[in-house]
Amino acid sequence: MFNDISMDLVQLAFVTGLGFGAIYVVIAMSYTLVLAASGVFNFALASVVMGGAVATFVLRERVGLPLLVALLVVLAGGALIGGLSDVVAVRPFLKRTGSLTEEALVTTLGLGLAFAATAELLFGSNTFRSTPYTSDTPIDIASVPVRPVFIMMIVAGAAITFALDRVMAKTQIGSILRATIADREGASLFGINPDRVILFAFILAGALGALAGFLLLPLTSASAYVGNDLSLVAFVAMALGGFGSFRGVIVGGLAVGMVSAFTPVFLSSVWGRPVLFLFMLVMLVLRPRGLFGSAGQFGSGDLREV
Amino acid sequence: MPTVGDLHVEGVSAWYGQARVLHEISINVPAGSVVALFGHNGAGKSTLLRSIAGVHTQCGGQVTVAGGRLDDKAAHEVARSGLMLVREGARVFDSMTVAEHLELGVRLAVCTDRAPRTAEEIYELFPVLGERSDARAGYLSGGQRQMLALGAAFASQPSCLLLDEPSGGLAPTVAREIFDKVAELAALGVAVLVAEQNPLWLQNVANAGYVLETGQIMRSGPIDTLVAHSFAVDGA
Repeated sequence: MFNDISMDLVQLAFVTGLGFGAIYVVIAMSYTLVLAASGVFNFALASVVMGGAVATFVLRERVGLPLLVALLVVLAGGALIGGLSDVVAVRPFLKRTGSLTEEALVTTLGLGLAFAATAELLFGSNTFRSTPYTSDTPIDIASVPVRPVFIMMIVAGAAITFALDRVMAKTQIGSILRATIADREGASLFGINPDRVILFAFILAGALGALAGFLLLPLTSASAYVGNDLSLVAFVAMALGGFGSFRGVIVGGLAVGMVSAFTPVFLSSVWGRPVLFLFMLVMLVLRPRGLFGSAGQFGSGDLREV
Repeated sequence: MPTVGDLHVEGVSAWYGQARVLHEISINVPAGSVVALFGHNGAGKSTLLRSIAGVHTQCGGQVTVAGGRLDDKAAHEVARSGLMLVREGARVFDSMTVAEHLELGVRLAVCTDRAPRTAEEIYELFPVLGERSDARAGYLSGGQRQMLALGAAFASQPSCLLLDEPSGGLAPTVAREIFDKVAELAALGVAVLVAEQNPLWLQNVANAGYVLETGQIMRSGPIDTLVAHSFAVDGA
């Protein structure tokens, strides 16, 4: 049956998978940062991604801000919401031991639902198409016509991943974050305030989430439902790569992008999510800790197991 | 030079849940001296050091360094006040390099207005760390990890240093080397409190000591007296 599938379709699926995969990497990385630093799976981050897309649309199309100014406002907003989710939904419930608590799990879920419900109240079930950030004329790369929006997603995703890796590996804030992730008590013995580091992780994750929304907007359009299943997508990417593993998140995010893009080619688009979860299930049966789950610490290599 | 000051521990008690594990412990460590804290496993040595350092929070009593109260501070604030705890088992950050550990110590000194020891000074003290400055701590031997833990603490120029069984799991020659470095640090004016099981390790290093049993100070005095008593009782 695969004889009917043209090479063009495969190439298109590959570029689509790479583009969405790059953004899934950014989203999964934001979840991983928070999870590794605090032990909390911050469900509210999916709504931050949605907020990033919707806010970019409103700021550009309604308020009339230039693209870069809108991006800066969206980043600041994402950072603010990320920080608030720590202060409002996590910190009051996180015990001194820093372990995952059911309260924090439920409160971040509640906060995410509240954000989504607010967006639904404001925008209803409408979907708003965004003006493209760049020309939408395909560019030929190795004889493959690629839409510029995918090039932007791939380049931006790779640049964000590389920048974050360098910050973690080569800067003082990176080593403080790595020390706290590895051993919170040990970090505090070097005068590092773990609460501040956790807050920083939430802020950085919020900014990353909003940036992912900004990058997704030209393809997904703006609606209150953009972030609907992103927590699940991030979870699958983290499960595939290994929870807390930096390298794993890259591999997991790209794998999710590829599986999501190729499933409609070989089967049908309705099989997208079932195949993704089946893929995760098989991978977890074969390798329960994910591809890089046994790896050690965040750095140029890995984060940590959580 | 570190900011020097005596460490005074006054009436410190500690609990795990409802169980009281330390009973009104009082200890004095003058600046520039090494004081030993002896006791068998489970005597409460680690809990006492962790209570002093603000890590174990279910405790009461007073802790002062150079006259400043520390017992109402969180662990990171205690560290910023100049009191460093080097934990049992040479616990370091496995994924971080030797140089990155020393940078953490230097950063602590700088952000609390103390003049840090440079990495080069630490490498002079522990040459093996200089040879492996780019190696991740997870790849070091037990002795090297202990030296790294001490080196990072030294880099922060603490006024008071708490060492929890620094000889644990080390070859006698390595342990002696480490205690020599501890004595050198004390000679600069640092107050050093060392928890150990075996009094013999500290006979030539410590000035005085305390013997802890089931959470209570049973004896205290000059180190030679405590070692002699230990020989007489345990044949240690």
